[in-house]
Amino acid sequence: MNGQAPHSAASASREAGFVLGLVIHVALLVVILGMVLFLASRWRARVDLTADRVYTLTDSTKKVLDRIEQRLLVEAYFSADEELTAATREGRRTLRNVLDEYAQQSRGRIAVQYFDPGSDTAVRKRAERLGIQAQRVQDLQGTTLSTKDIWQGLRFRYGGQKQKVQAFLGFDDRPALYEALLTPILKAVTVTERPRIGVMQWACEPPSTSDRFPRPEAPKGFSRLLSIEDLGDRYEFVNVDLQKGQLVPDELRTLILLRPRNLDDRQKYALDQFLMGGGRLAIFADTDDVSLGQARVLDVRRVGYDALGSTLRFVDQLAHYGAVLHEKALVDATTGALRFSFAMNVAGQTAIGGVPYPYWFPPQDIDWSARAADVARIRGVTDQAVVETYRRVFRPGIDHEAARGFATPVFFWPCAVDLAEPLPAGVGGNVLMRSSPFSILERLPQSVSPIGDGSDPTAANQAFNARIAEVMAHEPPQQHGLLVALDGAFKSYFDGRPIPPRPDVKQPVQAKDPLEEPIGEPKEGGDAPTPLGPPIEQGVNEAGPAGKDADPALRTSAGTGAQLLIVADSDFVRDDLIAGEYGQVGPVSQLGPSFFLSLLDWLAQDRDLFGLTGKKFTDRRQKVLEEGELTRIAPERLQEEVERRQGSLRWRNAVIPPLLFVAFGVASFLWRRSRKKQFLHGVGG
Amino acid sequence: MRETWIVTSRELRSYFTSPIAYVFGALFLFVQLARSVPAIGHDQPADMSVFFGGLPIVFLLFLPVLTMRLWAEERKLGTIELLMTFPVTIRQLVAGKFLAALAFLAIVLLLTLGLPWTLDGLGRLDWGVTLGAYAATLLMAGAYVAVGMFFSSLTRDQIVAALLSIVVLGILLFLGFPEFLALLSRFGLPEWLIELCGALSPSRYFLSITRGVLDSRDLIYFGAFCGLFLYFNALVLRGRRLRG
Repeated sequence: MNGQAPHSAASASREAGFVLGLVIHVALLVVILGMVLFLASRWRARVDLTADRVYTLTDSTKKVLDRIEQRLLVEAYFSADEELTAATREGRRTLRNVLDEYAQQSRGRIAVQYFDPGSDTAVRKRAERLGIQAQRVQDLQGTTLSTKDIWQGLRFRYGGQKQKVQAFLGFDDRPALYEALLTPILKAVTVTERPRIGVMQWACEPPSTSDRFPRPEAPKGFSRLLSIEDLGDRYEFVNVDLQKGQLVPDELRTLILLRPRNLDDRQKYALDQFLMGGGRLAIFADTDDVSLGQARVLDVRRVGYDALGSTLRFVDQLAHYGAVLHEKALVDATTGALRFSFAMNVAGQTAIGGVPYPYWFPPQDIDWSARAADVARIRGVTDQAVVETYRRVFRPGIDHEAARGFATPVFFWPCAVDLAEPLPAGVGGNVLMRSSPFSILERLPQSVSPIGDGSDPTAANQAFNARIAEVMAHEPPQQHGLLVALDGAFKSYFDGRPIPPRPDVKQPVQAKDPLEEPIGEPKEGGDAPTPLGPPIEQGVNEAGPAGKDADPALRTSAGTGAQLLIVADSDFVRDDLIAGEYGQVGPVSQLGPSFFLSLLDWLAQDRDLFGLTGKKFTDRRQKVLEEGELTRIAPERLQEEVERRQGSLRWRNAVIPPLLFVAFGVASFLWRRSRKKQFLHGVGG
Repeated sequence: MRETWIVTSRELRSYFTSPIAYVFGALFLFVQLARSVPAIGHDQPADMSVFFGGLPIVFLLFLPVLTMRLWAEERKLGTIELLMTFPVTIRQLVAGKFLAALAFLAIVLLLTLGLPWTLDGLGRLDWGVTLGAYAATLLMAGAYVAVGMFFSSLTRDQIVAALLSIVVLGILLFLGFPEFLALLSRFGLPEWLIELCGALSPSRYFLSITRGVLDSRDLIYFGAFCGLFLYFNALVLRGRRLRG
């Protein structure tokens, strides 16, 4: 007994010591863990494992963030996370991550504050005053469908003066999409100077003589486009009028021609000299004006690029620089074509019908070379040599890293523009966007309505499609450019040609030959150089009396930075189409303005945002059948073959690994049993 | 280190002499692959999201079965006393068993590489994301194994150990489901508490890595989670040894 007591006491003491130690250990551990987790949440590092760097801020964004000088406060008016639906929660998390990434990357210059308008009336009222509104989102739980009002708006405040509000951001779990949305806003709100861009515009003037279209349709200009806030935040537009024979002021580095027409030789000279001066010229061209109106008549009037009496052709001038502007409309009969909607009478009731309309189509981000076999199959070509030719000749629909990131618009009755072959010496060019191989060029008939006069839409549409199919059957598959960019040392179109005089200049051009008397260069001991045209601040359009200023010396070769961009359409940014004037069943150019903005960035060389828009994602779709097999297998057996191979692959992947594992187990068991037997045999068992 | 390695290799060998491990491995492979092979399909994206998406639940059903015997069986057979007499520390014993279980799982997971290989042949699999997701799988498996080992050390009944692991891991897993958090918010719980609940769940961190982002927070979470439960495990064994 005496011996047990000290032992028990020692045991109890040891146990007490253990428990005390345990408590201290656990308490210390919890404190340390808490600190580690807290520090980890403050200073974190991320590694983007994706090949396309999906979760990495682009260099464009980093550049924009690096240039922020003052404090930028981002107020996030977000519903609480638990208020979100299951479908929106991941998008919210992604957006929070992106905002967090911006804050971290800005090294403290960006601060994000979160407010919940759903739980605080004062916050809700402030959000509403800013124009931020809740959006109704559907919520499906089990079989019950309900709706929820979700807030997800942002207010950006920069330096206490400038601010911008994004009323609502959609939900998406791809960070790059949020980045593409947020970085331009950051740039717009933090930018101190807006580049100036000259604009020359001519309205679309549709014909109004048709019996079916008694009321004349008003010309459709581009004023809505140029007053879009996002554009105005980033660029300052200056109207340029060359009617009085002025040249484009040197102060302007970028000039846009929207739907050029009736250009006289003097204007062509002005454009030429602008380009030779290192200017960046963008032309949004169209060969035809097509009426649309509420009646959807679709009568056609040809656009003439050249003014009456003009001796030089604008298309020849462009060809001289390396761009072939076709004076025909482009028809693309791929499945990407927009539908033409119309009202029809069905059993006494008005219904909305729709037919594919190959004059309205977007350039498709498809590598047509890889689809050569598909094209051949659709066109009934079985000769492998021809398929190989297709594969060699076809090019992607969107064929440039930057263009791939542009919002892709639908083009409406576009013409076509290609590169000259060969390009002039010293000039480089790219076709950034092109049609599919199912396209043809044609002079538009008087009407391009897919339903005729509407009295018998079905029959008229059959005839419409048959006409296009017949033309297409007689044409080899061909692609045409929709967007062409050229740069380099362009040569002046007027080198060796007489310089067109200003409209009211009477004396011969040679008498004012600037080569003999250079104007604009300071004369030794003479007067200050005569400014070229009026200063832009006073309005480019209100030039002084023509002839007061003589032309400067002819620039025969383009200076550094000269760039020519030709888009084969302008309708996609005209007022009625970007505004969606034709109601729910009418055509709308939803992405036209975004595409226009991308082109401006390109032109104004706003390299900051190139990487952002050009972020590309690899096509990771599976192809169970090889390209070549598509032509070898009969079309009616394709689906069956795909399913057979899929089934086989699935079966093999699901069954072979577990069988292998079991087989290894059996083999291992047999081997061990054999060794055991050997051992027992060895010891005489 | 050497002692840990000896324990690990001994444990790992024991897996391959046990028919239960083979049944476990084959069944796990079949269930996991059978539910993932619909990802193979013409024009579908070549990615492993289906495979990794349901993995936390599959692990919840399988891993406690793998870990239930780690200590409970030693106690039931009385071999734990023998084990404690080996010239190794408790920490080395715990680490050895933990690493062996992970190594066994890694070998089983190696047999699933045929699926990404097939997908890469049909499309263009993003191997960075895929390998990252496999690493995340091992991290999550480590967390599950640590919990399973801890409960296995508490009882000599393997079934009880497995059930306790399933319940605790299940709760932790469900804490990461947005629907479950929304349910909690309906009960009027404060937001910080709901956020804390979400932050405790391994599935949140696992899914974050499988998306293709390796975040230091995720790594620290898994490290802390494993470390905590392995430490508790060692404490239980130490207490038992002290009690004799």
